[in-house]
Amino acid sequence: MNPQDRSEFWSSAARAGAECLNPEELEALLEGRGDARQQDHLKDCPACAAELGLLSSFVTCEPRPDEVAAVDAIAAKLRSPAPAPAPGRTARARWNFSVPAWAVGLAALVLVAGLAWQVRLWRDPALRVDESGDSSIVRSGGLRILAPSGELKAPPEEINWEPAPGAHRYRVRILEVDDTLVWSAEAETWRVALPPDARAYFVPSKTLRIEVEALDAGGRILRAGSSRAVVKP
Amino acid sequence: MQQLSDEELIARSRLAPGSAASAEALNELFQRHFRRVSLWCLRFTGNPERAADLAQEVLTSAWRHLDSFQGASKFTTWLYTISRNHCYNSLKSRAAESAMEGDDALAFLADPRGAEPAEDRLDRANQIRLAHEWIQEALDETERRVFTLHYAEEMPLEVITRMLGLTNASGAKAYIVSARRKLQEAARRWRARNESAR
Repeated sequence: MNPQDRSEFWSSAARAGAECLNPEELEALLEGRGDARQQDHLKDCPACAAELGLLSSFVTCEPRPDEVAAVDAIAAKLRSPAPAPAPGRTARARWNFSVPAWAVGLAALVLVAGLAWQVRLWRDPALRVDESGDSSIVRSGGLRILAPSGELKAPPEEINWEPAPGAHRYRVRILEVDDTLVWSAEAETWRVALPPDARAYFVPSKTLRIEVEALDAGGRILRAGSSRAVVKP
Repeated sequence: MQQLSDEELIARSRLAPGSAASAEALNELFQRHFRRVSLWCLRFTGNPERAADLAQEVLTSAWRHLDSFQGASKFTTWLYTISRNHCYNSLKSRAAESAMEGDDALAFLADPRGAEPAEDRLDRANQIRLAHEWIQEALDETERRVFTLHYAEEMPLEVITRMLGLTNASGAKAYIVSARRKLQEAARRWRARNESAR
């Protein structure tokens, strides 16, 4: 076994597997509602134990003494209202409630994303935009792929998405822009690690489409989503 | 409004999307979680400025995708998933940018004599089962968590130190060193048993 295989061997042993618990199950365990199967799994699974620890720290949200001031400052920054309207202009009544900084950020983000998309269309008119399921366009009932999406600095190491309620498993596919299937896998959790042969398809400037379908126990599609990703040259 | 649960606030916001009542419900919902997301991002970055930016991105992402929340879990758990994945992705993207240290540290389990270790003769599934067994049996709870977060989740040691609140002088690094030593010992014992049984 060469060093790289040995590293992969150990990280595989510690990584979440197909039978690992989803966030709802971890929540049940955290709240003492976990069933015997979940408890048994937790005892033997370092990945789920680590994940449960992180979820617990997120839920309890107890800053340590040396963190309190910074957390308060960040939260205050998020809560701070947007700048007041310029003098002489009357704000409309519906804007009288404070607009949090993060909501202003959202507006800025949408504007920047819109402009960036427009610039991309100007630059590359030949590339058709798949509006049917791009993860940046979230539709009710859609499945959102969190990563990879958009321009990447390096080939991704995994594909992850938001879990779909009731999903029994997920079908994951990587396709070229002409719909040629290059790699596929199934997962029972909300992510799948990409082996070297799948990562090899992510060559610079080549756009790939990632599709994820959430399936119920009978194999019916509950939700589906897609994203596009390209490694920057 | 303050008496309503997170899930009730979401339900209220969906009654009349775009209305002032809906905005008020969402404002209340998100403000409840500012400190939670702030703390998470602070531990991930170790830097208040970067944490504030990251927290804003997380909340913006949650806001944009709130319609995908179906109530299968509590809102806090859903927000955890968003926070977790967003921060991991941000970390990985930064790591790729700065060509994070090549970590071939797991090669430490190679046989010191340079011989082919006995476990190399097992098939892949049994190798992983064996590694899993060593991790479970040889490491204590904190070592397991540190080992898993570092090697499986690729979380940098300084992030693990903050996430787990490790207060010893060298933080997570001490646990990794100790875990490696124990795994080496477990491997040595297993190889000795396996070779003497042949």
